[in-house]
Amino acid sequence: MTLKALICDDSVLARKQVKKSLPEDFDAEILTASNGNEALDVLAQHEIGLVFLDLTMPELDGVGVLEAIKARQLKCFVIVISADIQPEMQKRVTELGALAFIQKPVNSDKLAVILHQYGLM
Amino acid sequence: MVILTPDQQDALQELMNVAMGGASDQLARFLNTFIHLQVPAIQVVEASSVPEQLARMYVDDDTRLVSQGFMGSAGIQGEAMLLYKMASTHQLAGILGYQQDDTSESEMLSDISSILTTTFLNSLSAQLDSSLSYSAPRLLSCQPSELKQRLKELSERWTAALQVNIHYQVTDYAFDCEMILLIPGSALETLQHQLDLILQEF
Repeated sequence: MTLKALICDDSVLARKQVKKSLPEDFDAEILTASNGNEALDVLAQHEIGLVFLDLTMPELDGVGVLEAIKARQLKCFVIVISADIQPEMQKRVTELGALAFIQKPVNSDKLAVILHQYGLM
Repeated sequence: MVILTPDQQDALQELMNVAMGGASDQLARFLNTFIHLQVPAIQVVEASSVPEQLARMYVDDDTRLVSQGFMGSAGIQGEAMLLYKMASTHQLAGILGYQQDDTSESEMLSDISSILTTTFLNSLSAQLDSSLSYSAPRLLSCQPSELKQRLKELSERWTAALQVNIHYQVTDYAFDCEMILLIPGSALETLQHQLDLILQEF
């Protein structure tokens, strides 16, 4: 079964940047969401295996999404892609179960390394 | 007046978001605290409308204005202004261990402004493949009655203003300031062109 991946970011440009930074041979169906609430809707309706998650967003932010994923015991991997690079924030999202943290603007090499490292491709 | 397309606005917002993230990280290290970030609200306005609008927003407040010029390789240049309300600054000075007198508070605002402006603009220009140099920050203290005149003097040379409202919620106190980038019309056109190049890439 093809992996379903969700890109969640309030910026259209940022969503496109993530999509374009994915390795060419990364085989997944890509869905998108423009804030945390939308992401939770998508997570409820689809079996998402991987989430690329922004943190600073209107309505519900990335930390809120991570908390909800944890509370609902959803089985999905989360890679945080954020401009909020404070060490304490990186620690917080890791504690909430995020697999990895990538500093914006997203870098395709780093993304590829992480996807390989965790056997996601 | 140049108006950004929705795509350009979104792209600029994201570039600013990345720049804000870097600036906040530096400021958090300086303040030795954690900062809750919010999506920065940005808008492009005519420079001439800035004094009136800001004077209205800060009508009752003792305000400090820090201004710093910047100049870049790709025709980007302008003046970065940061506006602080003194009421929230006194508390911050206490927390940071600055003496609560005028000289020390001025020093603190210059330090904070330098961190915010240079980190923010360095990140922004790096994303636009340009580099910038800066003049030293100048601190202008003003009573509410003088603010409009000071802003007028600063904004007269420029066409457009990129207004970024920054709100930092630090764990146990709120710290607000307003950042205004005053730029000439030609720089705004350059910026739009660079945003279009980025948009074409994706």
